[in-house]
Amino acid sequence: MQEIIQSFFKERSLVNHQLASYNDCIPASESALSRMEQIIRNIRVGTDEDFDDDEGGYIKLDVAEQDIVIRLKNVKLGQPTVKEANGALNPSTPMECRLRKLTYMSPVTIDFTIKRNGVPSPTETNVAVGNMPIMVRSERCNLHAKHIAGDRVLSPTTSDEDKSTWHKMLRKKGEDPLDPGGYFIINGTERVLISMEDLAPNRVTVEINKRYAKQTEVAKIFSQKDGMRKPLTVEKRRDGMLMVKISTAGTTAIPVVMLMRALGVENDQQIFQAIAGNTDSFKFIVANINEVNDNEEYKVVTTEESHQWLEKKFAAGQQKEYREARVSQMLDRELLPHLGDSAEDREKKAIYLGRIVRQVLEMAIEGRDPNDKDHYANKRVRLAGDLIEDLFRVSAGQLARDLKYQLERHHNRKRELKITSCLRPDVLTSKIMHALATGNWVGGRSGVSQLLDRTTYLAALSHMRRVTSPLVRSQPHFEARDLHPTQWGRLCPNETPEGQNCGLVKNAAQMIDISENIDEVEIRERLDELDVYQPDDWTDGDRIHVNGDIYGIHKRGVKLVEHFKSARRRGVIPSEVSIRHDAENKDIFINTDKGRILRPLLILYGGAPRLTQDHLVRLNNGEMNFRSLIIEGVVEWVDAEEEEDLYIAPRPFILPEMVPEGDSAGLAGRVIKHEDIEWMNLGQPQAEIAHLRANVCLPNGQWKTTEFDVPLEYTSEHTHCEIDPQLVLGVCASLIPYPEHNSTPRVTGGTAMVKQSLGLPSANYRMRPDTRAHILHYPQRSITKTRAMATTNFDDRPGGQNFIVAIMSLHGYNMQDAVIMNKGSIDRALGRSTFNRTYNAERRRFPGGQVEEIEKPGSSKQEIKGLKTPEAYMHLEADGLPIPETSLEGGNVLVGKTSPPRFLEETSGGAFLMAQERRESSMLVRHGEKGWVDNVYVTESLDSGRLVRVMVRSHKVPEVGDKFASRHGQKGVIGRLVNQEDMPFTQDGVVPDLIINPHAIPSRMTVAHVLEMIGGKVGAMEGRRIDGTAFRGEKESSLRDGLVRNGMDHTGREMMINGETGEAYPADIFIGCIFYQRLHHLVSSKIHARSRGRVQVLTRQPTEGRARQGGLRFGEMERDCLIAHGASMVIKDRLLDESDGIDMYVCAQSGHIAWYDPKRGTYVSPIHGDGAEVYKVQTSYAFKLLLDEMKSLGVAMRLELEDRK
Amino acid sequence: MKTEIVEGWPQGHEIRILISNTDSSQVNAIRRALIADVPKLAITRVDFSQGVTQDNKGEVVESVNALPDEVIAHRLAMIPIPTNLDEGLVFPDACENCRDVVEKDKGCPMCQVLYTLSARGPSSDSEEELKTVFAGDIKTISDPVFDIREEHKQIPLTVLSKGQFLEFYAFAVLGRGRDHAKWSPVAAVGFRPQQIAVLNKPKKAKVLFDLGLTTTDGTPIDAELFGKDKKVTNINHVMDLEKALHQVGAGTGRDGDFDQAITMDTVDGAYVFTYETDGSLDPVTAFNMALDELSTRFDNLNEDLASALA
Repeated sequence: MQEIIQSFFKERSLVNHQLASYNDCIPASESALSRMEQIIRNIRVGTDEDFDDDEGGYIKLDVAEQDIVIRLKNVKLGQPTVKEANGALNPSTPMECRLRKLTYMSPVTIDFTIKRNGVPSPTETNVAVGNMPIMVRSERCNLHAKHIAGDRVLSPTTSDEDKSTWHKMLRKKGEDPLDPGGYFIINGTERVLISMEDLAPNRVTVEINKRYAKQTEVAKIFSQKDGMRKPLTVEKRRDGMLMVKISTAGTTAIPVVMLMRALGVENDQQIFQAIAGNTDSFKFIVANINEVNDNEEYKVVTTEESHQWLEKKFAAGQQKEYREARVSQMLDRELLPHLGDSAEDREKKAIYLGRIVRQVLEMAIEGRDPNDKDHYANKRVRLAGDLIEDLFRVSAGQLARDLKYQLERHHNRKRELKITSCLRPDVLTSKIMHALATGNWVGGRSGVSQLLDRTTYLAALSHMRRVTSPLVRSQPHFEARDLHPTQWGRLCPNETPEGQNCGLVKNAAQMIDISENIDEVEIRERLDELDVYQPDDWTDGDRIHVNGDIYGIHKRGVKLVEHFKSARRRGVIPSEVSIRHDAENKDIFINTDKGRILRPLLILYGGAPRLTQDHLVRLNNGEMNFRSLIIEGVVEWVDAEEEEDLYIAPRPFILPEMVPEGDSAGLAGRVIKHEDIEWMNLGQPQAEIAHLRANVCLPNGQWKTTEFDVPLEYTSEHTHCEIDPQLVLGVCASLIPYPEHNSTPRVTGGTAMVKQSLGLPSANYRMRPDTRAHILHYPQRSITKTRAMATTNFDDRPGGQNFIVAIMSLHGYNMQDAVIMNKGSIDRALGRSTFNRTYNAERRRFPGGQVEEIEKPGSSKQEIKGLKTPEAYMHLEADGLPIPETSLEGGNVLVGKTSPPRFLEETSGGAFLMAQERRESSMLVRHGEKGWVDNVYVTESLDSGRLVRVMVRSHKVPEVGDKFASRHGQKGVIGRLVNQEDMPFTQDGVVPDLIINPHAIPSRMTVAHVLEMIGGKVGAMEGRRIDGTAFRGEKESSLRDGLVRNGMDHTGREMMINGETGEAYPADIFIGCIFYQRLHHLVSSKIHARSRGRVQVLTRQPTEGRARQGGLRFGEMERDCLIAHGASMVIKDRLLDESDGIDMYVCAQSGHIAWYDPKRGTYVSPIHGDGAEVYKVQTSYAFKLLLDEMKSLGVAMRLELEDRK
Repeated sequence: MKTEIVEGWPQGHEIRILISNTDSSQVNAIRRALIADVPKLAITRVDFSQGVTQDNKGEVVESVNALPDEVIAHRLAMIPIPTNLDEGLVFPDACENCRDVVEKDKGCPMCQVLYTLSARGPSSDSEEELKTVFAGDIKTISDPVFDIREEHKQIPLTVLSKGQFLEFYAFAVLGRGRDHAKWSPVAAVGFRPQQIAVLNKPKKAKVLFDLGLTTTDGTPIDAELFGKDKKVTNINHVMDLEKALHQVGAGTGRDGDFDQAITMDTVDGAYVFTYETDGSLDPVTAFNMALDELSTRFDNLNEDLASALA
């Protein structure tokens, strides 16, 4: 069923969720009300009133005499543009933004109307209010198929010709056609918005709160409306009191009965009815009502009284008007705002509250299970579009308030009011850009936007499919970290970091969709048609909840669900709406909200899929696409809630390893593999067996066809069947062959390492100005492949090479996960890569008209301080830029530059009025790096400064210490390079490229590593790629058959000969071919040593870190060792002599630090002058610094000297 | 030691040689000499033209392309250069002309072979977007015997697009595989003891014969192959048979029925030596050169010993 998956990815990029969510947020031409438009229309400044007109947002000015109102609507997003320093506007491309350190953004325009005393003045249309960053490849991006060809709209998914035109145009614009997009470009850097996992808003969850020995039952709800989040808890205390806490209003607990009264439900009877459920709960309700009625503390019977009580608690000691306002604000805005924020909605809230209480009581009395917080039905994912929406809401609000203030000022100065002259467009822009550039989002979350990881193609993909949980990393949250069964098919079970973020940072599975918001009104109307009604007695049928809110009941729930699903499969109801029938509790849950992770499943009708061979053929030749499968009811999207109801067969049938007895061609016992199988009776109704036709390879290499039957794995009880079980894995895990044969932690480790492998990160690498980029010279497709490699483009952007690997020891140089490599292989460019570093130099402007100059220092007549010898600038051209292909080393000048003198800098001449010297401030090649000058870009940054970006390219040949890894978490560093003639070899003369240690295998149980080696060997012999896809790869027996067919031992072992002596090794050695990755931890970028060198200015201790040529810290524990040894002179040597030891002069009389006056040849004490008794004392400079800093606090330390013992 | 080329070989650059009256360490010495000691020509220095120029049609072309210079240089080094030592080439450090010259002036017709290439991307009015530069485009300035061999002319070097050019002089010198693999003329050098297949149980051997296997030359593997004395001595056939025996070996489920019906007898002190060259040398020459290298080394040792003891 690969065809279904292929057609899916033909239409959608792998980061479709990011793009779709962003497209949903921005105003596109067709959709009537985008989310941004809604935000603008909901702006209310200076008023509390509600408007139901179509005039849009409302800003009321606080001005005397007149009633001035601004209305705003019609947000539009222009095409991405660069505004040059001279004011010119040009359409921009992502590559231009990357190169020029610009932001890929579009102007936002809004229509404004000013109304004076209700009289509108002409509408100011399309007023630019700021800029919005544009997601690359989104609908508004200049690269989108809609826009790239001018007026012509390309449809690359349906037309192959359009696809090639599109790709050609993308290449013209400097883009890699396989780049998925889905990120933003902010100041030239690519940034991703990480999707966030959150608890579903507006859903009641009940849980048991265990504190010490006490146990209370609590219901929690996060009520969310328009980005406002108001949590509410209802607790049944141990004394039976039901208390509500509104945490945004205050910590005071309010009795439920009191709150219901405050909301207008005064009558005891009504309150009772709102809560009442099971008869057992009656006494609790009555007790609660009585308590509020009679207890001295409350004594509240009417709405009026309860308001007074609330005023006393929440606004004590304030004016009457304020108190009233405070309480009504609390009731309308803080309490369950998703139900509405006006006084009319209060009764609804009271009833809702009653239902929350009922759920608490049901759990407390009937012993119902608390909700499972980690169940994925209770989780929602917030994507880039949602995050941008939040940001835009806050920024637009700020803009509106700023506009109001500016207009008021203008009005008070009796000027004519004009929006364009009062609006400050940088308010919106700077707020949004700052958040995206730093990752500090509105609401105080940080790390929301991250720098896109471009180590390898897959790293970028996986980064954009990441989902993080907001839970605090430091707390344990063991359950939240666990893999929950409902994550099946939605989140990758393996791909998660190890360590503190384990299980909190997750990655999407391959085939997912994230639901968009669908208006529930549409669904409610549909339910009305299906005879759902609002009864008096809520127990008389199945209760129907729409988005967590009860809507009505239906007498025959099973029928309703059946109708609903069939309507959805016909396309009458949107495919993203889910329905679940909890028959036990007589509840039906319908969800239409956004952020649910959906996964596709094959639908079974009476024990047979509707999918036929015909479908597959039509999918293959493009007559059909994935969407038509949904419309035809072959496949449907399912969320975690609905999946609770389903019975899903994991696969249609289990393919036996060998042809079973009784096949048509008498080939029983011959091995078969999935790729040679055709399912003949696919989709045949009431079939109980799968009729298969198989191509079988005979020992002499000939092929024969046979047919046989295998039992089906699904029955009429099953409702669905998986499309392909390997889809549960994420993009990284799906590239690992045979993962089901490995121990899980190794797969997890493998997924982490795939992201560090060197490969081809993008096809436009020669252009891209990445600060660091590695490119593998000869990336290869892996011989042992998986099916996901085609869909994830890993075959076109690979990250490794096929190595011949032997498992043996050789002079002990592969102990402890080291590997031995063949020097001959490395000479032939195995694992070779290029490293590009981009340096930036800018011609900065300083206040006062001074500028830095990019030039060849010393070429002008001006004196320049710190000038190097003329040879140091030999390779620079007159413009100060290096000649391409010049070879440079660390410390060499890369770009010549001089800076103006610093303010009030001391001059060397001494004369105050002399012209001050410019300083040499050339950009140097990083210490310890070398390479050739590659591209040199000269452009202009936005503030009209000249921007120079120089790429320095270096050649990285594998050397001892470089890190390599297979895809099975088997990593190691090179321990030795062995000459080809010294390497062991087989009788056929095959010399391994790499030798790993046998100890690496048994304890780690990476069986797939061994299988892949065999697979690679067979593949190499037969010139084909072996399918190692999870759960359906070519079986071990088939691989062994392949070995034997090619004249090798079925074990994969071969006799090997010692290359040094010519003797055969006594044991046969396992040798095969396996895909290895070179990881980006290269020795040449880490190697570091220092003897004497730079010290810090403040402390005079050696600097820290390789980049500063720092020393290696002799830490506390190392010091402890020396103390234990009694090696005191070594301690002194390390901590004093080789660190910051100085000889200091001390005045013995005063105890102050003295100094030597070289002019007079005497020692001078600050107190006792020349004739003081001064001694030389050795101490650390840090100690002297301490004395000085104490002095600055007004504490003069005095040293008392005594003779050395 | 006796050497003899196995019947039917060399095939192209591949060869099988039977070495008898010897032991494995001596055969290995030959193997090592083949890999590491046989002199071979390989490109070791490349001077690229750099910058922006105009071609004769006035089109501006730049010296950039898909691959950086060092990668192209490495690709050039990997091209097998026909090594014809009759032309009197010497190692650079043994060259009399260059002995007393400073490093950067080293290199003369005695010790190096010169190649040049000048390629342009498609012209601006061309339909083609890209042009691939092949090893065949490299021309030698030295003797035509050093021209790249026909079978290597299809090696792609890089791809040029419009407005790009590639121009360089490349210098090939003699070297040895121990210094860099580009100077190693051989691949897949291995050896195995010479064996003779003996048919012990013709009936049980049917398990193998029924599989319909053939040897590389197309002869069916059956009882006939063994002839009257029930032995196979043809080295090529024995090697094919050795592979075929895996079909009835352990782990196949057929080993029980087969029951050692055919066994292999090892011939003492005889080895089948197999390898192929990269095409810079023909396999026989390479073998002789390896032996020469070995004998020179031992001669030198003798001389050194003699002078030391004298």
